[in-house]
Amino acid sequence: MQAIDKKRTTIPKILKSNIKVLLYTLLFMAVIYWSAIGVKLNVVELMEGLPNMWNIISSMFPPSLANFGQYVSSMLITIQMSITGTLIAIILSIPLGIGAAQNMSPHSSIYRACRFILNVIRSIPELIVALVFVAAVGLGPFAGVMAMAIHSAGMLGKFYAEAIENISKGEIEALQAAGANKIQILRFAVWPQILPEFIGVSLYRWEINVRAATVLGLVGAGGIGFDLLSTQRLFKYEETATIIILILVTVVIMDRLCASIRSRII
Amino acid sequence: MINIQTLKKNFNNETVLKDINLTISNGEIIALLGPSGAGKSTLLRCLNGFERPTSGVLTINGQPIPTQPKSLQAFRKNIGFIFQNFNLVNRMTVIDNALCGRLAYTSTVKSFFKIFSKEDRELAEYYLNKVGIYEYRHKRVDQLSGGQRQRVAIARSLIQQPTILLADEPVASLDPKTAHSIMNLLQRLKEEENLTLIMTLHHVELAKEYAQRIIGLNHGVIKIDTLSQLISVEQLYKLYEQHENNSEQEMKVGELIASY
Repeated sequence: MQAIDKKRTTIPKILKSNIKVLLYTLLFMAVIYWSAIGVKLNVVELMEGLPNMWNIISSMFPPSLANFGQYVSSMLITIQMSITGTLIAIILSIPLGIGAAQNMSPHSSIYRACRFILNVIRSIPELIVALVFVAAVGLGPFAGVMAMAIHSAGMLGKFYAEAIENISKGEIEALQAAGANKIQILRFAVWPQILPEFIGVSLYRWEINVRAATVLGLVGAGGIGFDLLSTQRLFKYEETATIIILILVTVVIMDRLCASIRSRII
Repeated sequence: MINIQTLKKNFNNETVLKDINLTISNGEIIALLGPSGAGKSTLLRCLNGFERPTSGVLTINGQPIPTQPKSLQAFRKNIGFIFQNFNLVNRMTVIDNALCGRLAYTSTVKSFFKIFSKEDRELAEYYLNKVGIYEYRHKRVDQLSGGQRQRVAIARSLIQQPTILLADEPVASLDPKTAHSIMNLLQRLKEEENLTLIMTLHHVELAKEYAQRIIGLNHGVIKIDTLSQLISVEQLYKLYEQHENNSEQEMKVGELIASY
């Protein structure tokens, strides 16, 4: 008897949830359609463009080794940019991260200020920051480094703050009981606990920054990106191909390197 | 000597300790007993300034507990604290954990670079030897068993060279055999180091066996305060029955669980 009752009550429920699913699916499809219309998505045009694309790609072969030395040194500048930028970002974000961690912030107004700063600098795209710095300090890698550092500090600071907030309270309390001051607690209870995450996040940001440094070159902030743009504008597609291959190889090597550092430390 | 008069403690309008009057002489071993939520941990945490009494007087050797951070840090040198979950930094070695007990004696700059004096290192080795963990001193804490970890935590608190040792459920996370060995250790150290030992326990039998004086709390009020030899285990169990009959308290426990 009870079982039958249950069935009677659940059938409309199933129907109801099905209608809901249907409505949401329609809504979802409508949004996709709206977006596709907006960007003038057109498969026919894409097909018609294929020969053009083939022209560009075929003109890239064989990749030219003229100016290879110059591109390698540009690539090295890009890597130097990523290292310097990440390092400055780490230095900037440590105090911001501590300030933005609720459990370690010296004062609630400092907490709010740090959160606000982190949110603001994180939400401004790197390219925009780079344009500002190019205007301020002129074309070249330094502008790119500063843009990268500022933007990365936003992300790193937020991650550090979260790592600090997630540590267990017990260790902090134990050191308080021993009469340790705030800096000592940071050093002995917080730092050892966040170390794996600190290294992991920082390395990940460095990986991102290698790629970001390439893009920053496009707005005149130095490095390989600048060469990429100029070869393309001069229709030296064979050299563009060389540069693209160079970037690919670098990114893969960085990936491997970071993975091995990470597995060794954590 | 610890002197507590008409101490009250509220947490957001809820009274945890109602009216505590207590005098503890140097060298006593005291067990605080009582059902969960009776206020025994809160009372213990008032003694080293983790919690601030809402009203009343609390003095240790005639001194109230300082509120200013610097003097509170200096004051805490004198009071060791041991936790149920040990609260060691798992990613550090045994000896580094023990040395944390010396932080109040070390300048901020030196401790930032982990520079401890030779005397401090010798002191750490001395106490690690005393609690029977010397041979593991260069191991990381997360490689040790629960009993061994509590020994490290005890060494960390002794290295402060306190005169009062507070222990919040020191053996609740340990198996019965290890629990007894830790209780024996605490008893021995109390004699050798001239400590006043105050601990919260939830095992009536352990309290009866190891404490000289038993203080029973219920609803934030002291119901029992007697030498442990003058009271039987059965009488102590009554402390918990009072709690079971009280439906109001039961409800509060229910709310607490619901709030999680």
